Amino acid sequence: MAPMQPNKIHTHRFVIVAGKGGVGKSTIAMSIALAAARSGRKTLLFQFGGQELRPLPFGNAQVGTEIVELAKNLYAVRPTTTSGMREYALLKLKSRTAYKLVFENDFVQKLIHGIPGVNELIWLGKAFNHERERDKDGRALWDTIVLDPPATGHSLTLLQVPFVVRDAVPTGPFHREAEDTVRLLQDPLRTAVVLVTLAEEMPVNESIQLRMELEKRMRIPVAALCINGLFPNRFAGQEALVQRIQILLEEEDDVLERLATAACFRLDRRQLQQSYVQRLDQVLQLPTLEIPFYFREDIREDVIVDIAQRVAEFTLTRAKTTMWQERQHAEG
Amino acid sequence: MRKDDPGTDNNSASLNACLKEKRILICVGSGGVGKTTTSAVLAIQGALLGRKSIVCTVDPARRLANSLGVASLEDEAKFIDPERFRSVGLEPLAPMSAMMLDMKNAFDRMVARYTDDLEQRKKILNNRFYNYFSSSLAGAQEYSAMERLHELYCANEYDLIVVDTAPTAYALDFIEAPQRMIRAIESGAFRWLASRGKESPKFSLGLLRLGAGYLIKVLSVFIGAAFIDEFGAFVESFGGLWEGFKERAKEVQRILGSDDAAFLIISASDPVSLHEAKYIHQRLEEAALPIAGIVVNRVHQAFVPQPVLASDPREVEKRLVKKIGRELGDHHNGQELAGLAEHLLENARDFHVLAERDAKMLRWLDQAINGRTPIYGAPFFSSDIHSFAGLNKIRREIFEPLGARSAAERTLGRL
Repeated sequence: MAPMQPNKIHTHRFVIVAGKGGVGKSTIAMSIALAAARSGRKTLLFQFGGQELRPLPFGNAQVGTEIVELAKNLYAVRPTTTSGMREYALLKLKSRTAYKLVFENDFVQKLIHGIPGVNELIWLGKAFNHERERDKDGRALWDTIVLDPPATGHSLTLLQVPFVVRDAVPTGPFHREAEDTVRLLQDPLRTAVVLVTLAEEMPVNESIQLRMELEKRMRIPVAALCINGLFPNRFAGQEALVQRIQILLEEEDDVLERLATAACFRLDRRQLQQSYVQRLDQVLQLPTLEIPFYFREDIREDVIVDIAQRVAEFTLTRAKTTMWQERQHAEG
Repeated sequence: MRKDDPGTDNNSASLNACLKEKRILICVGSGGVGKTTTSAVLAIQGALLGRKSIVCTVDPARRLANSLGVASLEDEAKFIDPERFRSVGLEPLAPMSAMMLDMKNAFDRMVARYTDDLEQRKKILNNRFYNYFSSSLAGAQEYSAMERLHELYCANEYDLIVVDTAPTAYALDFIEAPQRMIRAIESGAFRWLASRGKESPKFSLGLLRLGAGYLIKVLSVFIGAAFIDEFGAFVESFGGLWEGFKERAKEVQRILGSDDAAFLIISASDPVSLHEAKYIHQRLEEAALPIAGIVVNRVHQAFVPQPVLASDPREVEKRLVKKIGRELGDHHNGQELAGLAEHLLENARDFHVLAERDAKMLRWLDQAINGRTPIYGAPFFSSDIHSFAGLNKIRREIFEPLGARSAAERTLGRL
């Protein structure tokens, strides 16, 4: 019997959290990792290197190039180009002396850092190596690896690096590495790509474009869409009343008028968000996980726990959106 | 003084001065912070101040194109109809244009510029590496943005060029990616690779000791001989192009460090973005690059003063009934208004949390940068910016003074 495709995001082996900068990708990646860990899977949160400006909201840990334990079953690492390359080179060369001679050579450093795409290739390659890690009994060392790509920039750039290498380099170890990585990315049994977006114009456009590029050109299936930052409705069923009150109070300059203005601000934003939610649904038709906006001073552990709960409950089906379409149909 | 009167407001004097004096303004910041919109707003203000301005975006921002009244932003500059300005009661003293950076196009033009030999040009344009390099790989966008900027600068057609940079993995890739490239070219590493190790690199004593043959052998194990051959051929086909490229990159670095250019850091109001902004500020200072200011978008407002938030909902309900109970007529049933009063207060509390957070973070940022750089703020709006009027709204917010402290005061204490 063919293996079943996992029906949860966090039960995949390789989860890639993709999307435009500023949409809360890291928060979602962290939450998916927590959901996986809490379901008993040994999980590695794999962040993109570079300057870490703030500690993780979970466990308040500073994550570096060495793997750290954040909670039971939950680990995190943030490799840099240098640390990733060292590991990879040592794996291939099996000699520390050769590594030092060659890779710590100033000339080689300049050469390597001058080639565009090298950072991305090394980062992705290292994540891929973790996927292949086995313990002494031959069992996979990690049940789930959650990739949190660069905080800014286009995920597409990152994900197409192995394709570029595979096509540009006809043979050799680089080619094989790249080909293996491509195969992993294209395998829906092992890999789940989650698109994270906000219900706003630019992120929505980019998500639609990203999906198209991933599936049409690169044949990487997208498992789910995660719409972050949706304002919960505080005025369900009272929308008309709120608007009426604001109009009645318009000329007034007092606290009541401001309360009404604040309420309308919320409703306007919500309406705008809902229009983008519908657009995403019509165009992408993906299983969609909606995450509320948290009116908090900062994203802390309680928020991560809450989102992880939502991730754990979320099943990869189109049921919700089908309902929406039926409703549209009935209304139309 | 009219509110819309540009350039006479003391508090925004420094940013206006930049727009008047500088020839290049580079907007940097992490993704999703409103960089593209802010860049357009700066070019608008430039035109109002009498500078022939152009905004150069990296995104095919359709909504921005619509707001500016052009069908789409393309690689060729497009004039913005002054009627757009007039529709919101403004009169531009100089023309404004907009364009979008087309990475592939910029690269092809660069190749054409440096290669007279048609055969060589064809060889490069058809090279697999070149095609990937120029259209898709990380870092390539920065190189081509730099090329385009140099072109615009040298053509001398515009008084003011506002550049919206691509969001990058590392804060200063716009400057650093070309620098890494220069270092690789200068080290002779590319040429050495092109000769497959036969030509000895000039400045590397360590390498001479090591032996070039050995190095090639190890690299072959690491990345594969085929890769080295292929990449070497690619480097070789570029030939003299590398030198031209290097010269160009160095020239741009020089311009960016000169009095002709300044950087503007764009941020959103959330803690993650502001930490990033502070980091970029630090890096720019370390690189001794001129910083014109920090623009913080999406600053939340507190709709009501703190004490109101603790009001008894019944009190609010009573006042609602008293004030508009008659007009509401059929809605005037106690239960519905009671529920509403509660929700109105909850909603105001929600936004107050954000307003207070923003005010606190703005003060933090101002302190973290020792007040060395002016901070400008624009509020979080209830709608998208989809018109010239919307852009003008932001323009007024930025060029009406805030500064960290006053932004904080405004968000917290105005009412």
